[in-house]
Amino acid sequence: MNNDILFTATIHDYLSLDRTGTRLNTLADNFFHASRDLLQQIAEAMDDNNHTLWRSHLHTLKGIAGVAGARNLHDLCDRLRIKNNKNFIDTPEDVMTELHDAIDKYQDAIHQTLESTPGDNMRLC
Amino acid sequence: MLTHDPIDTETSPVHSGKTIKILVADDHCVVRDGIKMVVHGYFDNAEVIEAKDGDETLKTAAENPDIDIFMLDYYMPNNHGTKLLTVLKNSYPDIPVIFISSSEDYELMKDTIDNGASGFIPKSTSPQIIVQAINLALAGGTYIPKSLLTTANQNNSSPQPSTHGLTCRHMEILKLIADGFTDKEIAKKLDVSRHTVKAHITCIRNLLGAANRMIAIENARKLRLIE
Repeated sequence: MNNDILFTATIHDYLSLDRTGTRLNTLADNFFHASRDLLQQIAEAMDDNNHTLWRSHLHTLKGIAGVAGARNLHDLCDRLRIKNNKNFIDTPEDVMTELHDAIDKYQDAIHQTLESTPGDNMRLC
Repeated sequence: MLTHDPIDTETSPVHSGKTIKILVADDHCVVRDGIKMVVHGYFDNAEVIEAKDGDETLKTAAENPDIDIFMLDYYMPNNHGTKLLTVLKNSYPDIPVIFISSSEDYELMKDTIDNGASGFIPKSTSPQIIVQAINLALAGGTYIPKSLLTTANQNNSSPQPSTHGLTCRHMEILKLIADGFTDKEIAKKLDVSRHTVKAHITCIRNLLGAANRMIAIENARKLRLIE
């Protein structure tokens, strides 16, 4: 497991709940679905220069990243919040690229993890 | 009992054989589903009821008098944080409340514990630790993550080298424990909450490398910190 991308203890615990990885698969699916919506909302908040709303959405994204075991995204949300604490320093394009990249890496890491489990229901969105 | 991760309680539920009813409140379904998955995965007899915000938490609590524990997101729409905690504690003083939060802010954690919360769990916490924190809270203890305890120790005012990092307050509490005072009596004597006393005792135990308060007293005596 990739320590930079995943909270490995979290992923390990989810996998220990069922050998097929069904629970983790479901959680990851829910996470990807929810993160797509949140990314859209984060982009809109930046476009509107609504800093408060942007922070709120980023906070939510950090929370679901933590629950889903996405260390890279969780930590990135923290870094972005600190860097853009008062005003937007980064451009919307930069922020969105970083967030999308982090989610893609998490998706790959989860996919690899699930593929290496013995279950037969490893379908990720 | 109060501790931090790694926790010295078992992952198995303290309510073994009895159904544990947990109210999980968070405005995001991924968090609620994640906690629900963990609870159902680790507890044989668990019922999870959900709420999406503070008002719904209070409504659901009123409709379910047999709730064993509250797990609340710190930031939620329509009532949250210590304000919601105070309302719950006034209505259900014996039901432990654990906060789950994206924030890992020491002051926030301290504020919730000082106001009677039985734990503060960052959302990045692993499932096993979450389960242990639930068990600890159900057993009457308070869960504080190690990362936040470290900050607590760093923030303690002017530790004296001769006291092995223990602050004046720690020394005061240590002596009272050695004199046989209970948490409740210490809290009354120092005019602080029992949770604050428990938080101090955890710091004391950590600084003295003690698994429990009796060993802390033994170690303190060996180090000639107390008579």
